[in-house]
Amino acid sequence: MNTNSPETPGAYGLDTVDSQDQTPDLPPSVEDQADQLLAERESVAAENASITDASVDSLETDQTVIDADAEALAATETLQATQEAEASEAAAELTDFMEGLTTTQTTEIADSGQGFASAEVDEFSDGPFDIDPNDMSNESGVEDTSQMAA
Amino acid sequence: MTISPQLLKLIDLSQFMSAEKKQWLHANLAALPDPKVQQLWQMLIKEQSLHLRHQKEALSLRKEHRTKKLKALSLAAEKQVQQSEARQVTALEAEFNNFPSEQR
Repeated sequence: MNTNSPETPGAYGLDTVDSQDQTPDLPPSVEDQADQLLAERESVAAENASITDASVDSLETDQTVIDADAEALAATETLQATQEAEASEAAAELTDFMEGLTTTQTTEIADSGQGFASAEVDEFSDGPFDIDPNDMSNESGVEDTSQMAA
Repeated sequence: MTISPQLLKLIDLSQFMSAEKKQWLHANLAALPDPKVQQLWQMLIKEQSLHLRHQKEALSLRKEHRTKKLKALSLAAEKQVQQSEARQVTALEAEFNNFPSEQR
């Protein structure tokens, strides 16, 4: 196999330039998707706000108008029921993911010492920086700021 | 790890996530492993896509209803005008018929 062909990643060392341009932890495609979603969201909200309800009081009792309202109400109720079912399913999925994340991740972060793990706190209290509250000699060399306040 | 502002925005916009979970994410996001962060991205994008689709569907329904309502109002107004005109004609005819024949 010719590992130096132009099709081979790393051929001629050109891939190193490309890899430097990429953000390793944030795939651009995901951010682009988010940007597009947020832009569309604002656009839909603006269009929704621009639509005012059509009504003329003196004509509201007309049967044709009543029928149009009733049809819209029925369609809205059907749509809401469908959307609520979909939202409920998606919400359950996200809730499950978050429950798993917070439970396992809190343990993992604690074990790896990245967070305020109990082991880390214990190490301070038992370690070389342990401070004896009865020792007033201040041999640690830490500046006593209690007098500064007074 | 640098936290993407878009990801923070998606977290804040989430309607399925409790305030407590959002706070937890804000505090712990930087410490999460990359696969978990990627999974979170996907879940939040999925949620926003769903909300957006729902909003578009609701908007489409509103627009459809508005078009039908305007048409219905237009027909009702036209019918009202026709009824008014018909009443005027009837009144005029009645007045004409009641008028003494020698004065016609």
